Amino acid sequence: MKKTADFLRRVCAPGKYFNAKTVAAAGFILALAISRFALLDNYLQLLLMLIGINVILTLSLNLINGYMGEFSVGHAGFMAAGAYVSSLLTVKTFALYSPLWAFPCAVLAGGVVAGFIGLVVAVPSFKTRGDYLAIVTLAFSMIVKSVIENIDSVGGPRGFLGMDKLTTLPWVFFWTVVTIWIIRNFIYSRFGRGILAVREDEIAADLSGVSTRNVKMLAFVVSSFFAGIAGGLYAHLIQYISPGTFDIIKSTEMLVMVYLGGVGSIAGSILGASAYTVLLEALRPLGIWRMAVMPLLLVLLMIFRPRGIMGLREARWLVPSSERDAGVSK
Amino acid sequence: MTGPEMNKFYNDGAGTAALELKDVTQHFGGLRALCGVNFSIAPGELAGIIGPNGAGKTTVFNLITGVYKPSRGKILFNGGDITGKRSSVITSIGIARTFQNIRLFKELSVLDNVRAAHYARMKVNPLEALFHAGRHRAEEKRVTGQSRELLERFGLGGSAGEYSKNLPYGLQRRLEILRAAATGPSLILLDEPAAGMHPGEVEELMSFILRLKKELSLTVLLIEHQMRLVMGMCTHIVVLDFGMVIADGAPEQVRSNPGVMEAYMGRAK
Repeated sequence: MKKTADFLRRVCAPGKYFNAKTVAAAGFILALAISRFALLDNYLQLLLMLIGINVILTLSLNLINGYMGEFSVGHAGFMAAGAYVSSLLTVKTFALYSPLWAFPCAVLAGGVVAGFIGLVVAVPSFKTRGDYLAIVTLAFSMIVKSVIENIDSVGGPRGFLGMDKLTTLPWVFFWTVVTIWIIRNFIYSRFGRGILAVREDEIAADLSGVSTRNVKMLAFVVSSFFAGIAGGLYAHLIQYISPGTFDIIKSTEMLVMVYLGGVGSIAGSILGASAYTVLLEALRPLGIWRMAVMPLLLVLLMIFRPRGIMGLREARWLVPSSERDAGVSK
Repeated sequence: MTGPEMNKFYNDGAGTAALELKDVTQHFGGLRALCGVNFSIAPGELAGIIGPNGAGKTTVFNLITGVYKPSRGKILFNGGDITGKRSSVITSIGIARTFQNIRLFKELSVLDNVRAAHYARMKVNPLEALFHAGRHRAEEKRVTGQSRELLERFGLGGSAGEYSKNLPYGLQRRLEILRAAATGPSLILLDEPAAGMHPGEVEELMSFILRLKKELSLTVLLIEHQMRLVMGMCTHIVVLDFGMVIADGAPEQVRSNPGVMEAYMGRAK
């Protein structure tokens, strides 16, 4: 008994076998196996994929609201951009000839367009110090919604369909790992310390040589890029998107996941997105009342754990090894 | 006062000043905070700005570091015009500062406070940072090493991994000064470094500042209310009152200046 416990402890000790790389590799193989041999039924696979997409969205928003301390409320707009751009590409451009690389390229293109739009939103928002971002992003998501509603070639308010179900579990897993890796890299870098400094004290950051405007714009572009990626994956999973899919409720959902899991934490984002997605499904029997349970949970959370479950703390295995003793959070 | 510093001070006009304010004026709406302020600091000096509350001392710092843009006048740093430049740019060309009420990055570790100050001097582009590739690793190693060394050298090595908000007050003050020093400045501005300290702590802080100044060959300009610190350390004192320079010179000159006596004590009957 003691031997087994010792063995388990040794294997599970962070850094030895249980590290980010092995978890990612094992997870990917598992995801491949599940989708290839249908180890789980379609509903559970769908749920896992939704979790992955929500993890990407939560991390994307956490970069701005948690790590940088600004407040974006319109991330659904970037998700919409990614969803529509990638869907248009797969339906209209790759319709006849659709090679294997077409889907990842379409998703990537959706992310790039969302990132570019993020830059356009960031320029006026970060021109001066202060809380303009919330207002600008709110307005932005409304603009995106009405623009799409008025473009007839993408279905207008009726929505857009015709996408094949190209999003599979391995793809979702792949993009989730890429998101976690890149956002982690960003945080534990020159620019990551820049946005953390901005969160802590923007004037002091400026006067410590951090070019606050540039670093904020960079973070915002990275964040909107990943929201766009999530949009592309979502569109090819549900196979139907409409302006209503990406309304303020969607943005609010993202906020709930960020603040549930914990601001300024990758582990928290994974936890928050998973818990929220699973809970929402588990509460399905409650019908419309489940929409009352989540806000209630959030209120309780804000009272007892205002920074979320993992607020400002990080799981050790997600921290780069060189940063484990020095890092931004312990 | 030591010999060479004395000479520098009296050689005013020979060579470029480290910092020079020319006719600097600042209005906040109808309020005139500074009015035609002129003074210059020679390289290597330890200068002090004193004056009653509301005299405009912190405004001078805010103008030098680009927090405000002056309504009129010019600010020269090593001969170059820095008037109206952005704060981060001014910091990156060599002026660092601390604040009257400590402004640390509270939720970051002591080490990260210092590492964040290396931002402007790190040669890592966004793509290298996002993929942890290229120069990222080497630069991280260099910055971490240099930051640890700086903390080690000035007595904060043991607290490197702690949240800066958990440090005792005196150490927070020091960390803020070290964070400023980590930006690689040639001129450092200290806004009331000894505020809220008892005499023993002030003594320690004085030797800390002197050591930092000597080892990093800095020019120091500080604002202070504790006369003992100012008179004991500074080789050059500028006195402000109601936004105007009323005295500028060596401590003994300033002390016997009737205008200064009047500003501090009131007019003699």
